Amino acid sequence: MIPIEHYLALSFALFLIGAGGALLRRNPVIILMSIALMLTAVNVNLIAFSRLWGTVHGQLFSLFIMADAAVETALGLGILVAYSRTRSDSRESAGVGEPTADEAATQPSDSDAESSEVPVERPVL
Amino acid sequence: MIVANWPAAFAQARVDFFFVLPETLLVVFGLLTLLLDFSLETEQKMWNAFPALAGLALSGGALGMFGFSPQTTSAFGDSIRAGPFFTYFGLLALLLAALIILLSTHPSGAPDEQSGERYALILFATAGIMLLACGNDLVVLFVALEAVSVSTYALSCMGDADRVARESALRYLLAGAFSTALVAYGFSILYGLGGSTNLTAISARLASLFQVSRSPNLLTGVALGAIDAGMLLRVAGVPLHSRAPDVAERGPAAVAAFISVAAKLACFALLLRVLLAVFWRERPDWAILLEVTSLAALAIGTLASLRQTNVKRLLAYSALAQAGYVLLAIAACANHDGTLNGRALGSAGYYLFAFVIFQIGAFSSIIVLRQRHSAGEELDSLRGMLRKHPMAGAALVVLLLSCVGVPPTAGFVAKLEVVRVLLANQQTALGWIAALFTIPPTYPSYRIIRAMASAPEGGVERLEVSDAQVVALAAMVILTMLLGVFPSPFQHFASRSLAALVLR
Repeated sequence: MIPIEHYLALSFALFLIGAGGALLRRNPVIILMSIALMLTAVNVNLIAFSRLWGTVHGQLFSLFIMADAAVETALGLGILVAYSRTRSDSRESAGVGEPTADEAATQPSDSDAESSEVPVERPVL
Repeated sequence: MIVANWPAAFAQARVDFFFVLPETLLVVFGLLTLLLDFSLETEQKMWNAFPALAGLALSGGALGMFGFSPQTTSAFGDSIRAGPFFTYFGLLALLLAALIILLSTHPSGAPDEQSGERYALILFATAGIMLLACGNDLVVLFVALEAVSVSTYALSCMGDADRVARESALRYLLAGAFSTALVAYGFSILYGLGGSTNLTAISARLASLFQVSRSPNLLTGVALGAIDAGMLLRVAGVPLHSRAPDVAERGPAAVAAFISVAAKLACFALLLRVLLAVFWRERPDWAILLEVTSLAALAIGTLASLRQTNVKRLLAYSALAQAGYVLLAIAACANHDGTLNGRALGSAGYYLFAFVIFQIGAFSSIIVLRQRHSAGEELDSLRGMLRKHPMAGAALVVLLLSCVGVPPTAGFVAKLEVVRVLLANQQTALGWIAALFTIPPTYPSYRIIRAMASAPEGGVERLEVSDAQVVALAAMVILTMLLGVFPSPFQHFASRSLAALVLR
């Protein structure tokens, strides 16, 4: 049987990667994926401990964590779609329609994942 | 065992079900509100408030039926513990939801603000707070926390369909999901330490671990740190503090008020339960953590609120500062000799009660202003409030004064008690800092009251205030005066209900 420390090290590494991604990346989709990674680390922990203790509670808990990850991602993507829809609405209502030539030059193309990036943070205070 | 003995198991389940009746009623009436909403025309949306309020009243009745007994009863295999803590937090959550729903019924308000979805989400979030207050199992606590968070995420993006509102809702969700992941990681380590998801079992196991080695265990530290960090991110929101005011700035004032108070209430319920029930023996560690966070929250909340001109943003920052006082009181709840400081617990619980009332009260100044044609969120839009509706204006002045801490209101007693607890606990520096931070909030409140008292720009047109809003305003004024003039029964009740959490 694989010792528990290995599982803990794996989950801690996963958790750190996820937390790093959630804090450092600016793209909301990637932040959602990083948070899912953090929850995966939680699941690794729960299932490893469940095996260690011989109780089923941990496995049961991990099912709830998965459901929660799905709910948060679904809601996050829903808000993201609503957000990008208002963005195109505001562009149309402003009479801009298609991005102009120099806008297209400064903005990355739509196939670039960073194009759905949330704009620059507002000042803190 | 259950299969062989199913009639007995079924009978037991029916008895157990009684203990989650308040939450169940809220969920059922939330669904009823959603159904009713389908059959209503746009002009009739105010009828949605009736099933929602009925649900809250019935839930309060169910809570009161077994509520006031001092002993704690466990149900569902010790997953649920109904006792004084449940009653206290349950009543606070119900009061909060009822005030918000009463204040949102506006005859000429925008119809989408009274939609059934919004009331249903408020009821679901309230059920989540109540479940947090009675859960005694990691899984129950986690699911309840998510019920509150997901409802508030959905509420935060239901406002105006403008871009910045959606963006701030997205930011709020991402920050919230991050803090949930931290809490979940802490919970998983806690399960590993305790071998069970039951808090009582975990507490017993940690006690035996603590007796073997006096030094703090690495894994215990990780679990404590992760759970605390996740909760403090939300309560005080110190590294992410710009989120809550962003969300508050957009969307209707009633929803902003609910989000800023309900999320804090939920986090305090979880924080109190986890700290007092499980981590009681590691209290020197978490006391320092809470003190540092609370100082940061006090400083940021107080200083940032000085410069705001948007009333909703201002109040969201002031809510941050109020959370700092509660954290200070919780940090002081353990004496140096390891006994429980009942007075600190009482002041924390009392502060939460007062916080719900005066924070919603301060928000209601802009809620009643919000009409179909004017958002009424900037300081200037409050001009002439006292002349447009003298009764409502006077009530709002009292509630704002309570928010600052002017005697004889609840806000004064709440802040005074926290400072006195800190001084009695030989934490002189902290006590003086807490006392000093009561002075700057007078300036933003002075600005609001001055705007309300000044002459209106146009002619004096009378402000429309619905009967339900008058009831809510009157209830808040009466409660804040009652709490301020006769604080001791409330403090005893708060102290007793919070002390019931400690499993020793």
